[in-house]
Amino acid sequence: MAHEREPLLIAHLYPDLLNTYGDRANVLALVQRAAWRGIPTRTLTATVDDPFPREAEIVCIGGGEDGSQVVVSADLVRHRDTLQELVAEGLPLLAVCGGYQLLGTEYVTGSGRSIRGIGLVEARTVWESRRSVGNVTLCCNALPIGTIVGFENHGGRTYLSPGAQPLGRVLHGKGNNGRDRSEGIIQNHCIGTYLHGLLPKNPQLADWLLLVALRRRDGPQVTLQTLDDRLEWAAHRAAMRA
Amino acid sequence: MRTGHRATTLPGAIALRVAPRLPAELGDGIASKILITGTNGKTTTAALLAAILKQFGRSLAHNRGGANLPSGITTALIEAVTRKPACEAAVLEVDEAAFAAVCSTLRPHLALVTNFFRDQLDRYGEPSTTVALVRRGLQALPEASIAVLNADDPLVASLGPVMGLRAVWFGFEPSGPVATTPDDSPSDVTRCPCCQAPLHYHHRFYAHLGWYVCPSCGFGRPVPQVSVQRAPTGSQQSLRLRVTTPRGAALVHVPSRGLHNAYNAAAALAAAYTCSIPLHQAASAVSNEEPEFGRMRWTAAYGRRLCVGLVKNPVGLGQVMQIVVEDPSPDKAVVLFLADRAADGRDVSWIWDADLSMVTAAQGSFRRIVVSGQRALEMGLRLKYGGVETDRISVQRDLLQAIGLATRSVPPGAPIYLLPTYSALLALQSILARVPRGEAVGPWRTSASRF
Ligand SMILES: [Zn+2]
Repeated sequence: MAHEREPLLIAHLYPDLLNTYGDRANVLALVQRAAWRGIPTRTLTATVDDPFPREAEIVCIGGGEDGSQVVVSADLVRHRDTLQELVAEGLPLLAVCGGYQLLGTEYVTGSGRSIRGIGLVEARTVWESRRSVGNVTLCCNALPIGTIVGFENHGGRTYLSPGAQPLGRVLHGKGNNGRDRSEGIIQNHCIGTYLHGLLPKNPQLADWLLLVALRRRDGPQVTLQTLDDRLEWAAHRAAMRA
Repeated sequence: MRTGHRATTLPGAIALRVAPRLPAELGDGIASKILITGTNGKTTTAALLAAILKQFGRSLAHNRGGANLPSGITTALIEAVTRKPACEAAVLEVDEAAFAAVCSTLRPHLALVTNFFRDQLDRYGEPSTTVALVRRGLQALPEASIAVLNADDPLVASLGPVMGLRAVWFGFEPSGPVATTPDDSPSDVTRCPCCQAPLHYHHRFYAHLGWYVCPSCGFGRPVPQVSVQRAPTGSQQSLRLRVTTPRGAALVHVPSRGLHNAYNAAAALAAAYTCSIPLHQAASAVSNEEPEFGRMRWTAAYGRRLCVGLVKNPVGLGQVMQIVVEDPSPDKAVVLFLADRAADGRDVSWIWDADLSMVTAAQGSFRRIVVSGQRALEMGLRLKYGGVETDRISVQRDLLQAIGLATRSVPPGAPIYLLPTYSALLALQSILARVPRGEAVGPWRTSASRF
C-alpha cells in the first residue's frame, strides 16, 4: 500500500505538563505501529501558549499532577472551538486521566470549587479524597475490540451525561466512578479514559486510532497490515490477571 | 508497608504497638541524630555518612537495607541503645511519607533531602505531594537544626524558604565537556515550583537536576556551600570528585559509577561538613565504602560476575541502564525484573517514562536481554516499543530461571546485570547467598519463551 506520500501527523498536547503517568507510551505505540508497517509519522508537540497544531491527524493528551492540570485547564480554553470542530469532523483523539477530565464539562475540586471544562465530551468529574488505584480490565462494547487493560490512579469520579457512551464496562477495577461500572467515554472518534500504560498492551485500540486517521485522510479502502503482536497480547493477558 | 524484611522491622513494629512513645525516649538519649529522606539515594547516602562517622569510633544507630519506615527505624534504635558502648549518633534513612512523623518524634539535629523524582505514584502520590510531606517534616524541626539540601533539584530548593531553617546546600559544577542531557529527555519538573512558569536551564546534569532559573519570578538554584565537580578518572569502576567547601577542597575517590552516585557522595560530604568533620577524613571514609547490596554492588555466582541494582522509578532505571551500557565487555547480559507487588508499586506504567534510548542504541552489545517477574511482558513491551528487536528479548518470569538463562548465555567471568524492583531485591539477597560462587551447573532446566 502506498502510504509513502506524507507522514501521519500525531500531536502530543502538553507533553511537559501532563507527563506523570507513563502516557508517553501511547504516542510511542502509534509511532512504532505505523513505522512497522512502513507508514512514516511525525510527532508534533504543543504546550501552554503554543498555537494548536491544526494539521494534526491524531491527538494524544496524558495525565499529570493537579498543579499542572490547573495550568493546562486555563490554556486549553483557547483551543475549545478548534477541538470541537475537529472532533465533530472525525479527528481521532485519545485523552487519559487528567486529560480526560479536562475535556469534560466541569470539574469540582476538593474544596467544592467548580472549574469549567471545555465540554468536548459529556462528562462531569467530582473530586473525592479516596483515590481509585489499581489494575483495570474492561469489556469494550463501544468498539468491536474485546477487552482493554490498564492501570487507574485518580481522585476524580467521572459521571457521564445520560445518553453518552462509555468506552467500556468494568470487569475488574473501578473505572469512571466505581459505582455504575462504566469506564471512559467515546464520542465520535474521541476517547477519554482513566487507563495508563494503555496502547502498547492494547494493540487493537492503537490500530483502531491509526485506521480512523488513515481512512480519514486516504479514504475508506485503507486497511492495516497485520503485525506480530504475540508479546502485546501476552502482556495484555498478564495485566488481566494482575 | 514494605514486606519481606521482618527481622529488621519486627522488633520495632512490636515495640511501637506496646509503647508508642519508645522511639522518642530512645532518641532523647542520642547526642546527634541525622535523618535522610528523598526519592533516590537514601540508602547509599546513609551508608556513606555512617562510614564517615564510624571512623571516629562512634557507636551508631543505622537502619541498613532500606528498613526506613517507623518500625525499621525503631528496630535500629532498640538495637543501638541496648549495645555497648552506648549509641552516640543516629544515621537514619526515612521514607518520604513517614518523614514528618519521624521528624516530630525524633527531633533530629540534621535533616538531609537528596532529591524528588516521581516514584511509586500509587504509594506516594504525585511528586508535589511528596514535597509537601517533606516540607511538613522540616517545619517540625527544632530551631537549632540544620537542613542539608540538594541545590540542583528545584523541588528540593523550593523547601529552602521554610521559616527560620538554616540550610547547607550542595550541588554540582559543570566540568569541562559534560555529557549533558538532551533537552527533550523526560523530566519530572519543567515548570517553576513557585509560579509554574517554564524553568530555564543553563545546565541539565540528569533528569531535572541542574542549574536552573525562573525568568518569571526569579526563583533559582541556591549557591551551594559544598560544591562538587567531576574529575577525570582512569577507571571504569569508579568516580573522582573535586569537592570544595568554605573550609577547603579535596579530591575524593568514589568506588562506584554513575552521576547519581556522585550526588550521593556529595550529599554525605555536605552532611559531614555540616557536622564539622574535616574534609580529608570524610573523603577517605567515602573512598573505602563499597556500595550496599542492590546498589550496583558486584558479587559472584556460577563463575560469572553479578551486579545487582535496584530499579524503582524512571530516573533510577535510566541512570542504572546508562552504567550497564557503558560497560565495555562484549559478553554482558542483563536481567530486568518487573513486579507489581505493594513493595514495588502496583503501577508499572512508570517504565514508559524512563529514557532507555541508550539500550536501543547498544542492543547489539548484549549477549542476552532477559525480562523477568510477574510483569516481565510489560518490560518486554517497553523494550520493543523503545526499538529493541524482539528476538533479542527473552522472557522468563521466574527470577532464578532468568538468572540461569543469563548465566548460560555468557562465558565464565562475564558480567551479568540484575536489575530488580524492590520485592525481588529481597528475594535475590537470599538466593545469592545460597548459590555457588564458582562455576557450577545451575539448577535451571527450562529455556525462555521467545517472541
Ligand atoms: Zn517562578
